[in-house]
Amino acid sequence: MSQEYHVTSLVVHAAPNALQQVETDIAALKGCDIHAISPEGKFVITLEGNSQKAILDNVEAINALSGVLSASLIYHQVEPLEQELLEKKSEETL
Amino acid sequence: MSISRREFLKANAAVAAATAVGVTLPVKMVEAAESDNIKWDKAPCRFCGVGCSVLVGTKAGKVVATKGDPESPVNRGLNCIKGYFLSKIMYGKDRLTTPLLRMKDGKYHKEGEFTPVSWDVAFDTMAAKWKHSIATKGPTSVGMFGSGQWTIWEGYAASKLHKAGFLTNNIDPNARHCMASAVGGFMRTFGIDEPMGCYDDLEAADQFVLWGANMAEMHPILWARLSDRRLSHKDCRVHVLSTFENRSFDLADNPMVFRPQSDLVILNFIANYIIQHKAVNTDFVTKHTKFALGVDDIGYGLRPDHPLEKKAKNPGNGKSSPISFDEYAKFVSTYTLEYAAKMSGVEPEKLETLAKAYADPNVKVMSLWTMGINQHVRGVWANNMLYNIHLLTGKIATPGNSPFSLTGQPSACGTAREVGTFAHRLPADMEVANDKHRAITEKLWQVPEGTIPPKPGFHAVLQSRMLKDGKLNCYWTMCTNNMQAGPNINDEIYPGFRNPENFIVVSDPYPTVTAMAADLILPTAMWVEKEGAYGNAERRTHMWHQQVKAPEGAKSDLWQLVEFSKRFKVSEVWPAELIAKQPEYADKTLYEVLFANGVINKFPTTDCKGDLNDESAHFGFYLQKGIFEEYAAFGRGHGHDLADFDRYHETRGLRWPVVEGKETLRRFVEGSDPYVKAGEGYKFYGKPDGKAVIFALPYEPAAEEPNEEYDLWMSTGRVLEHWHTGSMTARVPELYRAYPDAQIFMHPEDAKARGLQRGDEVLVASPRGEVKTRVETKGRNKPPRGVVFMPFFDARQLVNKLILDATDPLSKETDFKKCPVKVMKA
Repeated sequence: MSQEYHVTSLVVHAAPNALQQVETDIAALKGCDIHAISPEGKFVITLEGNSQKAILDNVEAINALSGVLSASLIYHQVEPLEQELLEKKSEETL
Repeated sequence: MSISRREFLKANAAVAAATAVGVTLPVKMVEAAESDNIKWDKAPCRFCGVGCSVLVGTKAGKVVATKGDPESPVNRGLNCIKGYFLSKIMYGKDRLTTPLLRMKDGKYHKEGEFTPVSWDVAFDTMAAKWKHSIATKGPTSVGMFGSGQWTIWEGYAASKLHKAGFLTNNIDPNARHCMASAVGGFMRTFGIDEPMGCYDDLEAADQFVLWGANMAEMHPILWARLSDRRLSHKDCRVHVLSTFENRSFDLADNPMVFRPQSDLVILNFIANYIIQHKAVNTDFVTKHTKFALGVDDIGYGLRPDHPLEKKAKNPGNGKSSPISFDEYAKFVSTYTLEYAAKMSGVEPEKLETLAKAYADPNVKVMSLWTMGINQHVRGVWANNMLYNIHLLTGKIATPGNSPFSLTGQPSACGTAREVGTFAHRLPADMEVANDKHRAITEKLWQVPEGTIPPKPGFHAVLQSRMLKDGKLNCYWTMCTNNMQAGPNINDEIYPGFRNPENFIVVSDPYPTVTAMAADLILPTAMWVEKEGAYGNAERRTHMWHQQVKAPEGAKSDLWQLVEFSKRFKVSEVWPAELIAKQPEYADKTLYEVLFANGVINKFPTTDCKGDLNDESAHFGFYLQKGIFEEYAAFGRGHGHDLADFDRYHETRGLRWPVVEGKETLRRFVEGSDPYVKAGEGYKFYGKPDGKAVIFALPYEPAAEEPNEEYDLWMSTGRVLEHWHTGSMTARVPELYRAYPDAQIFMHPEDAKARGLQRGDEVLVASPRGEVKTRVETKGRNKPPRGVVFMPFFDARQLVNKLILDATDPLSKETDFKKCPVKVMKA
């Protein structure tokens, strides 16, 4: 089976009194990056993984965090890992 | 700048999310997120009635990425989980690519095996059946079941083909199961369909009231906007009413779980409270409303020989008589706080808090509802009663004061309602029973007077009954899955499909339960495999271009309808008297009369700005534009104005009426609605006297209530991850895995009393059948004792076979929310 690289971004809206806890909890998730937090308590997050399942497990985990009001998925892209390797190689030969 | 592929992709994703919330990311990240040879184009989401716009990324003829459309005023870059996986709905493994006909010994046979055939064989077989049926049993023996998921042109083509081609009104959309009560409510109160307000009210309201709607799961993007408002506006409060606790209760300041059907009592209590507390907006009420007493004891829309119908005094009667304000006040005076609390089981303080929100003139209230109110044996009444409380207080059509009927399907408004694909309707809110409306339609359609039959056709539930009874014999369903979604499947739907007298055709991209029960299956192109237009819940018409080719062999519903019309000569389906009125039509085909009619075929294919348009290429003219412009002529100047076709491709949609290029945010109010003149203030111009009607209507019980044997109320419904019957979402592996099997949600004490534990396999039974499922006592839905909830997306658990085919007698919409059942260990 070919390996895939999945990346997903989402906006997580947290209750104002739970911002710090939510930030800590999200940061602890594997493959998860927090890119920004808006003044209204919205987190810009990306999730990476080798399967959609890994990503969705994280989405579910985020949904279940206390203090999370909503999580909206924004963007999703999949690429076969072979392609990435090829490109890396070509970068190296350059 | 060197950046790895992974970082590049991650940056792309992060920038999309940041754009959605208006956050700026560091420059390096933004630079990385530049184009990647993906071609992006907009399309509305294929699923619910919210009408989000998504950007669809295609590469080498395939959809490879989607993202929320930051330019969309509806979703502002956000996506829910279904919308997010949209790109995958077209790539299910069992996608149909050839017509399949039941055959035995090389010929069609009702008991034959599904066999691949060409489109020619499929349409020849169909046409022969249709012609024979019309010739021997008349036009009422053929019919169609369509969809609120049809594009505008598909609904229009289907409606015209039936009403002006086959001379039958036997066409109805699945919106009958979904929005018919909302339509009935609008027509009765205002005389014109669809909400006066819009989504902008979400950012203007002080308090929100959810009447049975679980927006957190069913309208997640609007819920995100509502959540924003709740958190950013300090006086904002959210009231949530439902028959069981659901995810929307997380945000509720005033959560209320009420006994099924007692919403009618609560609504009248609020009206009474407003009157008792002198909170009536007398000036508004005097100028812009009038009062009427509705006929009561109207039955349950069952077959006429059903005991409940025989018992009713006025079955199906929607009449009313004028009354005074004082008579109305007296009528609702018995709906006291004590009575409402007793009937509903809701704590009196909570009911009073709710009533106060409506009564306080300084609080702007937005009411939101969908299936809880519409799928209700008194659905039209419940809609009327909701408008009552907004009209009594004058809280209507101004920013934040908004009775808002949420929509189920993506184009229930744009197609099913506005185009008039219901058995009793014509475009732009006109009706077949009205002589003038038929005359206007016949003129625009260039067909002789007397073409459209004056009698309404069979509505959805009646179609099933007529198929079973052998009175409807040729039946085509498109873009819907009624064998799973309709009520009373075993007794009232399946028998009609397998009735040897009938020939059943199902058009679908996938082999649904309905398709597998048919005689002929037609493979269908979907979503961005065709050009489309939808209309969402806030009157927003929006369009998309075809972005990829459909799998070889699959054709859009539009292609199917228009191509099928070529198989009929007018002389084969019209009676001699009608042809005599326009003899030059006799030898023409229905295609020439209905579609290549000088109007629909007047735009060249080169007008299309999209890269692909398979229908136009096939027929030789810009079919979609032609249909749109013929259709738009119905509404322009009559309160339903649409903009020019091309503008919809250039924008993220516009809310009608669009007059002089300007969309309308709120109707019936001066300054916003171009149909209201200066000095009028408000005008409910759907009614001849410009006045909306406040109806005196009582509480009446549900068709069935729990008894000793069937001791639980069951409601069916949806879950976030799946769209309706799952014919698309269950084929997206991620969504399927996220929620693979239906469950029955139950109170832990109810489970314990039956010797059940969480996860146990159980039988759920009603007098109409049983279904096997598993018990969930801890999930996202927490019913009170005596109530259970089961979603209907799972094709292996056809829960709707338990549902009685009782409807609102006025709207003919089924009540899927109040079915007495028993639950036993399997």
